[in-house]
Amino acid sequence: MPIEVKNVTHTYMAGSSISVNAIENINITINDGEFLGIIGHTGSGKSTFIQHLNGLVQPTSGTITVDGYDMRDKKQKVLGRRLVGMVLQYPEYQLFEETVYKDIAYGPKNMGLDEKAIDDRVREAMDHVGLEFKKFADKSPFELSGGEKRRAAIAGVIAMRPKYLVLDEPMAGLDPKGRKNILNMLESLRQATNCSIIMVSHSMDDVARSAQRIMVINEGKIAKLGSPEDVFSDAEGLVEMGLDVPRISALAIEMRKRGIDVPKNIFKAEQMLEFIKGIKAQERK
Amino acid sequence: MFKDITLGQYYPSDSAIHKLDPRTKILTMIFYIVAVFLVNRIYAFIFPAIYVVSVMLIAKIPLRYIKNSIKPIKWIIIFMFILNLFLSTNVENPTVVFEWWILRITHESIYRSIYITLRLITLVAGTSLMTLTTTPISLTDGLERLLAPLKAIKFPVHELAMMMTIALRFIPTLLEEVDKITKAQLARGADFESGSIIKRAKSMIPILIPLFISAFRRADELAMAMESRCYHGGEGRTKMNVLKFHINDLYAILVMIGMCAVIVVIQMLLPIL
Amino acid sequence: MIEIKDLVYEYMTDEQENKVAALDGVSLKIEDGEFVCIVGHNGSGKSTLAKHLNGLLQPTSGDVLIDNMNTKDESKLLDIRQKIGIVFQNPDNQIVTTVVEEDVAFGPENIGIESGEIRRRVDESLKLVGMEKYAKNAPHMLSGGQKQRIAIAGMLAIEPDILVLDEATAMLDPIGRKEVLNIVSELNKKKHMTVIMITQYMEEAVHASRLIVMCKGKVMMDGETREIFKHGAQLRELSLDVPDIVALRDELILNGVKISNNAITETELAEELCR
Repeated sequence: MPIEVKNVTHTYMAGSSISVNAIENINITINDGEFLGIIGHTGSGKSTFIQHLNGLVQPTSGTITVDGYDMRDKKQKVLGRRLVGMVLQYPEYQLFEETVYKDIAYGPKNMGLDEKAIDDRVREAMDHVGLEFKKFADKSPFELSGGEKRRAAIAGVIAMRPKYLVLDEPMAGLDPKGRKNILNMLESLRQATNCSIIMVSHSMDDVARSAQRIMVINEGKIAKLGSPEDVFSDAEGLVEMGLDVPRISALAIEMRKRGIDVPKNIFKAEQMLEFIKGIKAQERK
Repeated sequence: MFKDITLGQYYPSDSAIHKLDPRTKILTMIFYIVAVFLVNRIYAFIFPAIYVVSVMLIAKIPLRYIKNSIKPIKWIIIFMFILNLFLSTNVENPTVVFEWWILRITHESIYRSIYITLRLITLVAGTSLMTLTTTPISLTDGLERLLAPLKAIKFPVHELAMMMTIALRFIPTLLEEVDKITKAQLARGADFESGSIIKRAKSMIPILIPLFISAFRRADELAMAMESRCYHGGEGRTKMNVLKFHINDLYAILVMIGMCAVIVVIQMLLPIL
Repeated sequence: MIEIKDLVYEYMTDEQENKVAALDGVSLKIEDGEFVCIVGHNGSGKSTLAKHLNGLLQPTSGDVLIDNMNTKDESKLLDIRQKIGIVFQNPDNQIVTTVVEEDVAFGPENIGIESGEIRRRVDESLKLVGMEKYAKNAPHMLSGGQKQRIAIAGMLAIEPDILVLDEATAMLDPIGRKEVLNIVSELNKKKHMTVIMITQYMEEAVHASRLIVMCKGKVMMDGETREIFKHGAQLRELSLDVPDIVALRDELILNGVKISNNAITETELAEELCR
């Protein structure tokens, strides 16, 4: 069963003279096992939107159901929330326990699981994020490097075995190696557990590489929703919205300006390579 | 959300009162407190009351803000009123209105209750004028200048003012952070609302520890940034906005002294109530 | 001019008494008016290097000279800090006061500039970063990119010769990053300010004329940005990547497409392809 978001609007300071619609009339069905990328610039409402998915923020109007649980209902929300893991921005700032093990166990413990089940989950989660159990379990989370802290924090959410894993810019502030680690980890987690991944990111190249479907939020509304091909085929439109585009799309824009008719669906390096090889071969003829 | 919280209760406006030097406002507030304590007849509270209302009108602050400023101490006022009602007065042969067991209400105690209540209300309403018309940062500035002579006895005036400034700057940032950490732990199934007080206090640990760690990290980074910007204590430091007294500042202080004088004289001439 | 001679910086790790060298014999010379980019992974020592430039950290051995003033000479530190301004990573943790213009004034106030002159510098600095409209705003209501522009203005008001960005773009979104990069490029071109940009993003290096690659506390590569990007294999060995456009350029050349290996931005590559 999917997450269904219907006509969701969220208004800040509702009822007052300075009320602002953070998001407006959002409709989307998030399917089991999909990798959904969400892009939009700061203040576009994307962070507000994802916080609706596990009931951290309630819609001013509209409904959200997670596998049928209505997230507006207090009792159903508790059950729905267990299905949706939420990794907020800079999640390492939520680490608080003495050891990595205890910190990852915090979520499962709150679910009321027994020792054995908690232990299983902690080991499994550490395995998923690539933190070796022997080496890290008894370490203080504050001794870890930046990238390791980030992974430990994400493990704390994975340990709750979410069916939907929502991440708000999970790679922000990491170096290229760290970014790659996280992206690869998310992809292999999805394949191993068949969970859905909903990832907000500023990096178009990262989204272009991993997401099966992309949702573009602009000024609180869904500006585009579709496959990466669909979304990036209008690179000029994205630029107009003040968004970045994959580097290859940026190159395509420059080439079009100079009279080379680059097909709309090219946004990956391999595609561009083939295309240029093609036109150069033709030129030689 | 948290971002909208303003410390104190500054009411932005472009009035002559807002433009007064913060030092004047601190001084007039001190005079005002003196004036209120000079009042020893109930009718004389009319003077501070007129003062508060006219300042609010000149400052273009809606009068309902008087009510707002009193609201937080509502229970203290009620408590003081009732307590004074039953406390014995040191007047001989008081006129008893009501007596039961050890509780006794007299004419004199009723008079005193009303007197104390009015004193509290005028005090709070008057002093909140200062926070309503002055930003916390210019208050800090004013305090630093007023206390400057204390530097002679090695009192850390500048350091104190710097600490207040930084605290004011970081309160909204830290509140936002609390909001973020709370959400993150809620998403991990934290429960801050049910259970005994001890259990609830314990459930705050996952918020407090990250908050402290982050506050220390911020302090460390801020110290480095300040050093990089040539900060080396208050010595040889100048200010972009130099405080200057204007003619209005003189008037404001004269008005306050005048009020004190009027209260003293009138009460001497009219010893009723 | 900046001269770094055999700089070593060691620190103790808490548990074992092992010394770790964050900087391991770094020697560099940076001339006035250069735009230098220092790239490296987390832990490569690049931020530690930045903190040595104005004496926030003191070398274990070796020297750092700013216009021939040694950072070890405590009496010269204030002068050094007026010559070299550093903008740090977290925009929230370098703004000191609750009003934008008062924050920009913080630096000049510290060095005892007279009030009228501070006013002039604050207005000019805010204009240079395009934030004059926000002079009276509260900093915590601004976006990350705007806050970093305020931090840059705060440095400009001290009128330094050198501006160091210590991963100042790492926490910003793409728009904020672009804003900051454009501003420092302008400052370098129009005001001839020396700019040292420390970053983990290779793409940002295309703005700089000189690129220094650091790894494990050592300078591994140092040269003209364009030249360094011709050594993709060597960069990959240090597990660093060339920008996507440069990678594509190299792929094209490998596949027999006849273009030069000079292009490093999408505009330049598009130009090449249209020839």
